[in-house]
Amino acid sequence: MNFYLLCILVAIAGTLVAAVISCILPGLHVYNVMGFVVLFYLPVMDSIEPFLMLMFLAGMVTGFGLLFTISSQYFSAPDDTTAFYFMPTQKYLMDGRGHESAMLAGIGGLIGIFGLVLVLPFSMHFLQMLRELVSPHTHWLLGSIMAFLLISEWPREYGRGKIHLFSIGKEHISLLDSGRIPPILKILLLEKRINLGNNAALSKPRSYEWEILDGRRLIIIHRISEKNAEAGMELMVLMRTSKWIRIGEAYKSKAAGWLTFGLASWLGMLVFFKTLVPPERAFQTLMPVFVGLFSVSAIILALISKVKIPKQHLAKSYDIKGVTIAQSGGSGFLSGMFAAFVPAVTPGISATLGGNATGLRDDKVFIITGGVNRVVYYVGALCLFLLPLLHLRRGGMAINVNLFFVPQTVEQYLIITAAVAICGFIAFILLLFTSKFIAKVVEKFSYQTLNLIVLFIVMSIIFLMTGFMGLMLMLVAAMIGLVPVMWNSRRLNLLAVILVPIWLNMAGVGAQIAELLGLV
Amino acid sequence: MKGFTHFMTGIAIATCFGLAVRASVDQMSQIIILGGIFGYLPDFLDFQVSRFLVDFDYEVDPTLERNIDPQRIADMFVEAIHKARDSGKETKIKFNTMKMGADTWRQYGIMVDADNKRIVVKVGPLVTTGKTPLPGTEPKGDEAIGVAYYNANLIHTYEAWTYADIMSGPDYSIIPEKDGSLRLDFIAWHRKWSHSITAGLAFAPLGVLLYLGLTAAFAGEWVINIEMTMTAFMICLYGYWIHVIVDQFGVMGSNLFPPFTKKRSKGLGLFHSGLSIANFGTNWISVAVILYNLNYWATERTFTTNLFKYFGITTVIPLVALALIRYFWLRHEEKGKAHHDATEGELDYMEKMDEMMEYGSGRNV
Repeated sequence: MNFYLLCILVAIAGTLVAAVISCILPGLHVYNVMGFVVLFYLPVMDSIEPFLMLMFLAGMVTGFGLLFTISSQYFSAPDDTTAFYFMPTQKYLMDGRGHESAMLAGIGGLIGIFGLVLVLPFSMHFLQMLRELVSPHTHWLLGSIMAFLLISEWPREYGRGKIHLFSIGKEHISLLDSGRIPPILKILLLEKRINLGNNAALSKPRSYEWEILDGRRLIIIHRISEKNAEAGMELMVLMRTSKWIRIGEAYKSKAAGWLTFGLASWLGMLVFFKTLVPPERAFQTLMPVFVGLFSVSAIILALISKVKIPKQHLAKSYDIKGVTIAQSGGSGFLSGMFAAFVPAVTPGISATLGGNATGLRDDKVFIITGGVNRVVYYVGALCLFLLPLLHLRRGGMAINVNLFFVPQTVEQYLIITAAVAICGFIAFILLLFTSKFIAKVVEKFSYQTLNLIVLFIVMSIIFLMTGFMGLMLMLVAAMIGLVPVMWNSRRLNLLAVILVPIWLNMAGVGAQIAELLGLV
Repeated sequence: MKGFTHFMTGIAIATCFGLAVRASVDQMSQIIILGGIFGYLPDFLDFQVSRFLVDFDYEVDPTLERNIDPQRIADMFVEAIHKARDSGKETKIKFNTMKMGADTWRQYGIMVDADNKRIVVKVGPLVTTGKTPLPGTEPKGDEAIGVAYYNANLIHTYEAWTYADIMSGPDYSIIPEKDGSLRLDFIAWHRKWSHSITAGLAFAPLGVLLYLGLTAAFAGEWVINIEMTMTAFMICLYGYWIHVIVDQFGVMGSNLFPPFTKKRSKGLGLFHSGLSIANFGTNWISVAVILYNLNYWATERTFTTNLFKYFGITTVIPLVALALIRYFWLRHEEKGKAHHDATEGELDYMEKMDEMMEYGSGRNV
């Protein structure tokens, strides 16, 4: 058989394997699977051509880039990349538009592949120059990204700071109307350590509110609209809290974000500076951490939330405007390339930065951008590794491949590019049919049972690959992963798990900080 | 401008200091990050601090009612206007939002109809956090609209709907003027003092303290290098000021020299701050400046070219091309549609709403 044809067929086989993994083993990262494959390949390296192995992995990573949408869309198993567009896709699923969302992400993936095939070959010199220029500055670049993530999370506050004290009966209205404070209210406020004093009086009653100003807090007595009142109408008493209490309340979510960042940083330092899993599996140390932070925490949430997936509607067209494709394609491609180029930056982070840089908000743009970004990151990292003049080693793919293959010729790059284009197309077709099938059957399954099965599979794999300590690590990570979900803060803060250790190491103080933390 | 854009302009400014760039390579210094932080700071002060410190005289809080009553909301707004008129004091009113479910909010709109001296409140549909309306959820008939008339000379530049829907709602200040009229100011706490030259001078020393503190923490002792300390001060100051300057290209402007000046001066009105292309363009320029500076201050330069050629190729040509594509695209899209040029008031309002959208709400990612 012609060698080139064999290469393409092997790559397609990789895509098919990725399709199966994405659907059967949700929650498992392609880089972990890849590590597993490479582990089995290394002993038989002499009998299987390394370039064929590379083609298999290229097909796998391309397939995964598009098809992982299935598990993240339907099985609630987001990883660090899907955390970015987790919310809109989940909203689509709950609106019965899961298939539409999966296809939008898939279209994004196709745009990403188109961009890679078209742009990268002409960017060799530019990228080489850029690497030379930026490499010495990577440490502050990562520091800047972290600083932005930390300061830009907004405090959440939906209204006035208020405490619902109690409800009092209709019989008090005449008293309130005459400007007096019901004695029962004074007593109840005293229980809250608020002494109104003798001079406290009601302000001029408005149509439905009275106010008492006691010098410290404003107390509002609110009458439920007469129109809607039922028999035995009630009043609600609210205290408007002081401005500093208001700030405190608003900063709860931001503080939870900072706490998440701190805990994830600590966990990152722990796994970077301590060997917790068996040494022969050390290359998989990050696997339980990532699965715990992103997948297990989401599964636990799904189990608690008792979600029921509604009937899914299979849309025949996706109503995407040219401008949406241009905007999301541009934003996703630039941010995906940024993630593929700069160490420790994952698509989740780069997509957030890209979205901020371009000021795009729409849900569709959001999902398509996520699709573009993710494929450009995964496949782009491979292309950058093989790209003549550059050979950039970034991400799990390049690190694994570099164990058995050294890129040499332009021809190799061109074959890989062709394989990526073909596999991308096949993966998209597979996505179309798989998504349709799953959309039809997903409502028939109990979401909780499905998540329990996924949890069992994921835990088994973690245990098999990293042992008991890996399982413990995953559970600790899952607990940290729940913090932003429970306190409504940014999940991106979880990525401090890799950002902080790499940043500290690049800044030359990693070992010093690890020593301070008692890790070395 | 978006927060990220300001952050990037701050970083770009910081790379203009050769000492900072060289220190980042030779000593692994993080000093450049200060530029980004101070570039972002004015919006941080407004949206993450100031807005929580405002005490409103009136708060519309529909969550308290089992069903939203538009007439009561309109009445309350009119009452606030009359209070400002009678007391001669600034009166602040806040329209809180109404959360109905995990991802649903009740939308209501408020319109100041200055010609007819009336406030119109209309209850809208349930919307998702992405502001997508849920069909069939709007109340119908009289229950959906409330109208109340005011008796005052209210100056309001934008006679259209303001919506309270997701996250934190909008607010107004009703400010009595010397001539007896009342000026209606949307989110009056924004750019009141934070977006100023004087605030930059006041906050830059804090940046220096932050720099010295972090340097001491990593070094284990106080190390005061006068040159680097001065550079840190300048980075913080210019990072802050570049935010103020960039915002002057928008419509809203800012109060530039408080406490010596009291009112916001108008911006140049070239674009509103949420415009995608304006943000993208500014970020593009920032990246070009950063790369030029990293090369310029490097011990061994990666490329050699003169300033004009560099910015011509990397900045002017791509951005002009992008602007032209956008222009022709929009012309094509708007073919046959009625055209309406936004008034200054509308642009001002759009700019404020854009910033409210960015900082007052957003996705949980």
